[in-house]
Amino acid sequence: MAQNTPMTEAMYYLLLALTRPAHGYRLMQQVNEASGGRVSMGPGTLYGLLSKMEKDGMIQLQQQDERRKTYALTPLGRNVLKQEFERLQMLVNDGKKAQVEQL
Amino acid sequence: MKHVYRFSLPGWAVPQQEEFYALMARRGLFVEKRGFLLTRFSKGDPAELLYRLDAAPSRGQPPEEERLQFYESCGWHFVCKADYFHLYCAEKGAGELHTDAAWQNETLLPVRKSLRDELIGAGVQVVFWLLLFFLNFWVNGGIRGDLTVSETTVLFLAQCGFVLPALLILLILLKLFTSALAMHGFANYLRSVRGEKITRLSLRGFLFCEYGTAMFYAAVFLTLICTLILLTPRTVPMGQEPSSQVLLRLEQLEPNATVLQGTGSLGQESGQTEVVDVPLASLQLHNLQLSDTNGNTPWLDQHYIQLSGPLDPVLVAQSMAKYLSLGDPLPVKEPLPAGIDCAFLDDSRTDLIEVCLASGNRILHIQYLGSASDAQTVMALASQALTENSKSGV
Repeated sequence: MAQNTPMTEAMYYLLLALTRPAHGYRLMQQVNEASGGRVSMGPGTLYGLLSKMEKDGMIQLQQQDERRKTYALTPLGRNVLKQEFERLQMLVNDGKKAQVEQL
Repeated sequence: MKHVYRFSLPGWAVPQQEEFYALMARRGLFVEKRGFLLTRFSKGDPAELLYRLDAAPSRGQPPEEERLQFYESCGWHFVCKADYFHLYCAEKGAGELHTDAAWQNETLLPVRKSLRDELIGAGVQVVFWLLLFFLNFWVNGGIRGDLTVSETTVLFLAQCGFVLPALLILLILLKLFTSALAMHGFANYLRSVRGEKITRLSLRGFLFCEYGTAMFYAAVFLTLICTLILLTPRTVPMGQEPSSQVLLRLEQLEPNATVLQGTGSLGQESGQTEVVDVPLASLQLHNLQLSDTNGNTPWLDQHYIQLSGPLDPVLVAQSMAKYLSLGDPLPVKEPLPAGIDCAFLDDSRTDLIEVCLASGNRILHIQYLGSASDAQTVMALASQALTENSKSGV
């Protein structure tokens, strides 16, 4: 996915969870925690996204033992996450200016 | 362990397959292996299981070990390969395998591309083979020169070996149809993944349609094969018992008549008589001798065929009249001799009369070296020869 295209909710939360290096199963829990239980990630989605993000250079393998791989954000990944965060923040700010909360 | 086999559902029918396998598990049948035609189930205690199909990165390849381990750790066990997918199962209550519609949609796009490529490929094949088929048709028709398409259809079908090309085209058409169905069905599934509401057949309805369609096509296919076998034109030599019939394909029908059963006199000038294949017993057998005033046999050429297939004798006689004649015999309109179904006559030449008659499944074509005044005599004698043979039953 290009850096300037809005990312899916799953991708955003996965990058968010990866601010602390973690392995696959732990990541599922972190996503769940980070979203306050709102977003749960299935293994199919998680495995696919990890493979894609690793291929795109947003995350990298930090540690690998026999059973599990631990991933961490790359500088590119951090940058993408930051951009997405700013984009979301702008959206919220614009909403606030329009007093959407009072609708 | 006892095994049970069921017909495999189409590879593209994702939700239907998942539902079908879960239903079978509730009946104590657990999918073990999915083949192109059959799926193997093992018997066990009924269980509530979830089945999910995960798009395979490349068709027919097993999943990576790392992926398997990860899925296992989350409660999803690999079952088998399933065409474009890998089949996983989990205990009821386990989380979903895919939770992000956008990402799942992305993983399914290569499958859609494969299905689309198959559809395009089948379409191109249909166009290619139809073009080839009809080019052959027109080229063959063109060689005959004075024949029109409608007149030569039956002969052409035999001449170009109709059966195999027709079957080939039928198979490719079936492939085109199933590819289109797969493309449509999978597009619907993609829409449902993206959250669009679609109306879908129930599993029972889907199974009924699938098996019904398969049986319908099997019946059509078998009927077509039987029909084509019956339609394959054959000629048999006159005077031989059915058990010893020599079957000749009309594709062997050539102007020089060397493959037809009968005799051909090459003309009075040379005095030669060419005896081909089996001597024609028709006229001689019944002591029907035609001779001119000098006692010479006046035949330039003669052809006799007996149709044993369901070809229309009138149509074949019409084609033979044009195909084998030097002139252009026209249908005889006045009352025909008894027992004769149709007759074609050309008496426009001063030295040659051409007659083609059909009686039942027998057709006789004669070129007589004589003038127009002999036409009625030739017609009468040829009719007599043909009907006498019909009556004799040989």
